[in-house]
Amino acid sequence: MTDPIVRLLEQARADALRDVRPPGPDEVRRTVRRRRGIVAGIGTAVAVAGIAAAGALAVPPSPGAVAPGADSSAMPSQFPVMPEPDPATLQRMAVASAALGDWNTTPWVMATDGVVSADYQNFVNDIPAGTYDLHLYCVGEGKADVVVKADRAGDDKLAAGSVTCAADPKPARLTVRQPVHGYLRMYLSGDEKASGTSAFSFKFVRADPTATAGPDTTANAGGAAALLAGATPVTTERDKTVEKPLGAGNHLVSFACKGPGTLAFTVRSAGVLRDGTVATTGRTELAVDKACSSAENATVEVPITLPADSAITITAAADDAARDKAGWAYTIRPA
Amino acid sequence: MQRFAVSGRVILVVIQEAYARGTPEARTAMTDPLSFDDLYAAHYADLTVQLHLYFGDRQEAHDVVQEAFCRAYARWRTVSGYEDPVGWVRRVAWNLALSRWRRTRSALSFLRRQPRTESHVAGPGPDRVAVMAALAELPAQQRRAVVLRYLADLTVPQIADREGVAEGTVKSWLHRARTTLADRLGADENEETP
Repeated sequence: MTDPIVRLLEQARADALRDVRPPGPDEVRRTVRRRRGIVAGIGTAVAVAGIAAAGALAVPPSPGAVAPGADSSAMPSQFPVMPEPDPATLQRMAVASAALGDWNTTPWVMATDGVVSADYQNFVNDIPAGTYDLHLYCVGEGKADVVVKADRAGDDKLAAGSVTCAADPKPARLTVRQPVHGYLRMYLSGDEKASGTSAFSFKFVRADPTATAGPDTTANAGGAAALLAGATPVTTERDKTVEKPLGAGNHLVSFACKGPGTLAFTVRSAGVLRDGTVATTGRTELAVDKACSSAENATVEVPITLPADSAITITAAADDAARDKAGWAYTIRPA
Repeated sequence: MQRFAVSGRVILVVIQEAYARGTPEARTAMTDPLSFDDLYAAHYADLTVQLHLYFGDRQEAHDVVQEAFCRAYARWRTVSGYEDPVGWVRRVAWNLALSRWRRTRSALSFLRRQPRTESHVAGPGPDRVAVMAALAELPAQQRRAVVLRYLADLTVPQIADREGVAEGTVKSWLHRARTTLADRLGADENEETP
């Protein structure tokens, strides 16, 4: 009988092989020539390329030669493969990497770390459709803006925010909703203080991938909406952030919840990033824990004054008693 | 059977036909004389898939494997003399994958500034999505062991040697990984000695 696990892996391999598009050995030759040219200088580049071309010919192997360990970190490099960060920056990278935590405790779908630059981008492919929490850490000085865009091209922004760099980093946390299986693009833009010296790390953590709203939270969201005229109901099968772009002026944010447990509400006024994207991590206007079973002070109102081209976000995090049971609702209207 | 000329010599390329059929022999039966192009053609795709399934990131896998071949080419006179050149490339690729190179390369956008050559692909089928999602839930060591054992066809002793652990540890990783994969994929675990 065929081993079912091996069979599934073989099928996955065969499926993945269809997607492989090798750049080709000629691209290898071009890369090696280019790197050797960097070392040798323009005057000797042609000669080195000739040697490289000669090296492309089949060379009879020495009988019995045994491959060494091929430890890439130990191999003497014949040419500069990459610019290396300085030791202080590497140390910051180590701190940023450690900030990601233990995968066994909080598994992530994708994570990486590195040095902040003014124009970092990362194409993250094969991300299944669903909702993710993006945790972004920055170690050092300055600030960095992050924008997450959908697919391989286009300007469909899924999330945006800023992270402040510090020796003991506190993460910027964004909710990213991947509409279909495929690519995400991460853009990270450090300011002058951060670029080249500060280190970052980020991870995408699946946010309750299979949860759908249960009947209790759906009913309580409706009940909460009945407390506010024209309110939008929101369920609590997972923590949610709602956002609404707004113009300049005075606004009144109102929200209410019903059901068991407690919801931690955070209302933020969103900033605008340097590229014009509305951030979803702005200044905190109000942070309050609200017991949803209480009939007293059933609704909460927050007056906010905004400049032009702003936005308001409301995040509600449920405790265990409220998860998928309580519901909430909100309105945002001119004050 | 197909023949073609490289550098004035005719090279039998049974290996490439076998590779196209996806047979295991294709990954080990390189014909002599060994040329860089043959090695690249026979092994680039398989190495990329192994690292793709480990990372979950196709572009990262492409970049790492291409870099490993660049390093092989840069010292081809030496590498081509080894008993197992593809083993050397595989080891470099995995070391790069797990090393600082990958992070700094990514961080400094070294390759990302190059024109992207990846063409549009059909995208993964549902079974591959499920397998990749299940692999992503494995701890890194278990995932690495699964890929090396079942996709790179390394033996348990070979994996133990490269990971610097006892063979029993590798067997334990594989056992736990198989249990998790069987659960996630809804497969009937047909236990076999790894």
